[in-house]
Amino acid sequence: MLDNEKNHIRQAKKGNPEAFGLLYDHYLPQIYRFIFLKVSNRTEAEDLTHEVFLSAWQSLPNYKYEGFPFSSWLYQIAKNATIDFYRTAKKNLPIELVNEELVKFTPRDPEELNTLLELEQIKTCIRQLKPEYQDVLIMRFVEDLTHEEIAAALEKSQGAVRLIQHRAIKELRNLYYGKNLNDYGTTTHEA
Amino acid sequence: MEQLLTKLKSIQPTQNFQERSKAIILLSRQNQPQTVWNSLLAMPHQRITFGLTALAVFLILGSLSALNNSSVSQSLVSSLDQENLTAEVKSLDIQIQLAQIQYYQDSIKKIEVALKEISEESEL
Repeated sequence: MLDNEKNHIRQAKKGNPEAFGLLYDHYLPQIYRFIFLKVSNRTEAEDLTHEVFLSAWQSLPNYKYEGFPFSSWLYQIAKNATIDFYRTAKKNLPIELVNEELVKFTPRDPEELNTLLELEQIKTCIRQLKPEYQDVLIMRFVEDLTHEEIAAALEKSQGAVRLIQHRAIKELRNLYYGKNLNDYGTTTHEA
Repeated sequence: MEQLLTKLKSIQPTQNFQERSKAIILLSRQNQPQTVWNSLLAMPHQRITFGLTALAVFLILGSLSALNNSSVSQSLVSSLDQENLTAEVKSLDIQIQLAQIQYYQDSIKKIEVALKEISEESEL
């Protein structure tokens, strides 16, 4: 949570661009990651992230604090934006194209290259999960949100979130290690 | 698996995108807060017309109802008593009859005078 966040939100609600700028800088990376892991490439992730923050800025005067962090509200907008994106544009690129859009690092040594490949594989596997499994895994393990925060963002009970998390991690494991087994003929990672 | 997922934190937006997107967003206008008045203004004209008509009807009916309860209306209601009305109607008839008799009497006198003048002129 951003320092003095409630005050920044109050100011931003009144139309103060500087206050919203602080919120934007703080929450942009996590919302961008959330979207990037659910769409196929960087350009789509940037377009959707821009839409999410534009929508947040424009509808902020109607935002009401209901006991949940501001990030939950942003995740709600991001989740709906990605749903709309797939519903209207029918975008569903094949996995092969996804692999071309890797995180743009230049590996310096074999270990870093190995990490890159792992990240690529895990991203590919995440995109094969059901949308709600993706949401919970990204929020819980990439962004370290609490079950309460995830429940608020996804408008589900905490119990339902825990159940989804359990199923999602199990399915991701199957996909990831199954994929590695197919690729290399043997498993290379421990759960 | 959890450790692998944590590594995805290395994904970051580019600085160029961050600056460009932020500038565009902050230059755009915020929506007005949702108040009753704003909601009314946002409604299509037909709905506003319907709403105002309903409001006018409500006010008129309310005013009439208030008048019924006031002292003025009490006197009006009492004045509509049947006996009073009958008496008023009867007196009205009498007044009409008296006026008619007076008219006939006046007209007879005028006719008599006129006939006398005609007869005098013919004798001359």
